[in-house]
Amino acid sequence: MKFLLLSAALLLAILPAPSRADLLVKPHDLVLVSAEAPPDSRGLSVDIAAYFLMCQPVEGIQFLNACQIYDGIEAFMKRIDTDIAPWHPTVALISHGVGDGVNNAQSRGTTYYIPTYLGKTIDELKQLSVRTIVVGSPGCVDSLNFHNDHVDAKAWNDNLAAVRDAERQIAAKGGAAFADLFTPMLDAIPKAKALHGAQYSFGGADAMRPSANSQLIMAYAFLKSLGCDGAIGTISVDLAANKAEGTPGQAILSCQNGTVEIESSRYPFCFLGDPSSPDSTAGIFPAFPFNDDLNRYLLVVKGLAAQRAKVTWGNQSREFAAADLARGVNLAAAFAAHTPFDNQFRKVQDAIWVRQLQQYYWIRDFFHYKSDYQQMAPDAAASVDKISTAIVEDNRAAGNALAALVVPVRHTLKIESLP
Amino acid sequence: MKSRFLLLACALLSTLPLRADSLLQPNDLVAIAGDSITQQRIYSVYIEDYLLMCQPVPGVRALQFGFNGAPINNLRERTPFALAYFHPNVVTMMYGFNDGQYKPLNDERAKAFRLGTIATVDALKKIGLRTIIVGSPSCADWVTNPDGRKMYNTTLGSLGEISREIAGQEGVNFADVHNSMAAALARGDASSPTYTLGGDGSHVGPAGHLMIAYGFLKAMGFDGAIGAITVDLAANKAEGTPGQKIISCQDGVVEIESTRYPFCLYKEPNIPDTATTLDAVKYIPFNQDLNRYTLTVHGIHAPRARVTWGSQTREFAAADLESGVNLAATFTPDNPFSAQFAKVHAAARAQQDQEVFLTKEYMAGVEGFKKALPSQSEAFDQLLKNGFDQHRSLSDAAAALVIPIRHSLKIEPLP
Repeated sequence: MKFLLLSAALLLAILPAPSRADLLVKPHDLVLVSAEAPPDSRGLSVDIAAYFLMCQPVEGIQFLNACQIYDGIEAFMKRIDTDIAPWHPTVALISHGVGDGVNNAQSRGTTYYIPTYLGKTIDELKQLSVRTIVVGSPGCVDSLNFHNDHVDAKAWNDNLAAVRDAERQIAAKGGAAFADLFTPMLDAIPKAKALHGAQYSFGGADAMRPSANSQLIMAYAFLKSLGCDGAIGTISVDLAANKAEGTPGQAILSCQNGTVEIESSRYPFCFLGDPSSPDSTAGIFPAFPFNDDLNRYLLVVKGLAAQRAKVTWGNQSREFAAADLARGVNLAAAFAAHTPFDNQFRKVQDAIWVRQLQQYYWIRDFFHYKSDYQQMAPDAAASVDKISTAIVEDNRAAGNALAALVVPVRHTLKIESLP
Repeated sequence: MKSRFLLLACALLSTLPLRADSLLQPNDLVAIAGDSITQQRIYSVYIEDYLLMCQPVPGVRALQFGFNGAPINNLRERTPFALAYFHPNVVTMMYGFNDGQYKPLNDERAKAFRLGTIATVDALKKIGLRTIIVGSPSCADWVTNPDGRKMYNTTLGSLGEISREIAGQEGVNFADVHNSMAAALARGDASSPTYTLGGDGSHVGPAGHLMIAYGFLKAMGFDGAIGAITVDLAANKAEGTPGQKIISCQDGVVEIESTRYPFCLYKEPNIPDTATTLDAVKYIPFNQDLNRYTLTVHGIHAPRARVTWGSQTREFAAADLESGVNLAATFTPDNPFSAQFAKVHAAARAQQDQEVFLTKEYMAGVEGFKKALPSQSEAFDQLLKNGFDQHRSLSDAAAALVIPIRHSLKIEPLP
């Protein structure tokens, strides 16, 4: 009987958490991510997919990476029919306009492109039966590598702020949700440069190709707008009673003398790579509230008989005040880039990236040329349709296989009172 | 020393015009390979026009195989998996514009072009090409950057000499596009300070492309004898060369049915006059060397005569008519062939438009597609087959438009 109860508890802990009512994504959604970003980078599309597969899992959720660099709103709208429609997305996260003709004191984005094309874009996505649309504002540009004959980075960013405000209004009018990618990025840049130096860049060689650091901020804004609450998991330990409890997704396997063994099916978001590199997420998280808002993996310890304690998690140790542990400390932040989840997180993230690269290749090399196929072989419409359907079905099967990679991770927390 | 002479002899032989039937054979497929200048589908269509209409060898077809941004090695890379699919018999190649990298030529770039050309010729031989025509690169005509133009044409000329040398060494044919175009450009520049070949100066307009086509057609060995009509007014008799069938001849009016057309030259809207094919023939001997459609009239008992051809009339000295006048050169831009020539040209262009996606995009991607989605291998192959079928269908449609043209020549002695 005890075994059955334990098994049932483990099973409950492993299953994806039920979707919250206020979360804008639903089970089995296909989430389109299209932003002005390098489509072959491990960027926001991979970050968002990783979050919904590992951190706040939604059953059967799938992702489609349709990012493009220098992809203004007009260009995006014009490729909806070829690049997007065949996949049948149900949720769309779009961010276009960072390069939309800001060539003087007033942005061409504000005065022409966004008013002309954003509303039409929302309408076209609705016609594809996209249930939820989140319009993301453009991010901002970093002055480090920014070059323009007419304006400096500050003026460009002032214009992008105006683009953001215009997009917010048009999104509301079109019944779409809105995500402000601009503000958190603008706030984070000076903080990140203070940490890593003035040469720590955002946006690549021309400030228009967001690198992994910028893209994590973009992902953050979209995840917030989708209603993610950031409560990944909590481990509560009562040292005196030798007892521990975990929230759903965190199964307690044992608790004895301050050592807690846990099996987790929900992972904290892991920051990987070289912190000094813009192409890594490991250097940017201290510069914006990702961990506070979206990545709370808490340890709460009661019954500490000392003022301070050492917590060992995996092969890393940190010291905390007992009062902080009593209130709860965020392990995802305190052990960032060195958690027991990092290896498995990397494996899943790699698999997501490979899948999204394949999507990008199909879009770039096959779907985008719909009219060219008609010209190349007018009698082959049936073959083109058959192949298109097979690509989408193959993608769905491969997407489902990604969820299977999110295996429970066993890990141990050791709490030791310090003299 | 002996080998030097041999080398020189080979190089000279490769530049000599050969007879058409020595290079093109019935049912040949002529692949026209190059970079974005080829992908413009202008000179390649002129070549196809000429092959279909002017000096037709039965069943000969053309295939445009340009690839924008391509250096010489692009053709080597695409030869086994894309060009080979078409089983061409003849290939023309024109590279160098991208190999020169828009800079003065240095040893490194010259060496890369040399090795790339040798390797490409080798790859072409391996797939069984019977005739390979290595062309020197076309000229730059950057009208707003004369210093840059001079510098880069020096580079392109040097690359052209490397092409010539390799063609000789490899025993393949050579088309001296660069030097004939450079000479024409110099004549054009001398005619007017605003002379331009149009386009962006690298991708020139129709005039420049006719100059390129001229170089390749000459290298194919065409003799330019499209047709000759010989009229004996006194005897009420006329004769035509093959492809020019005399239907009737009475009182100076000759009715003819032609299956070989002269190459038609046009004025074109929206481009400078100097960028048209009509203007280009002032600076290259295209009509003299490749487009002789001659009327010879005997028995004119007057110093001059008026010749009416279709809706146009021109006057000639009787002595000129006696020795033969080139109707293709004098009845421009409108002659009885012009309308049908334009239809065939449009159909050839449609065929070459289809080739761009087929040869550049789909054939480059299809093996990768099959690898990424093996379950659809047959469907991808079927799509390729459909593409080939469509190519054949468009090629057939262009050829089918080359119908016999009936036209009349009226010769009236002038008092």
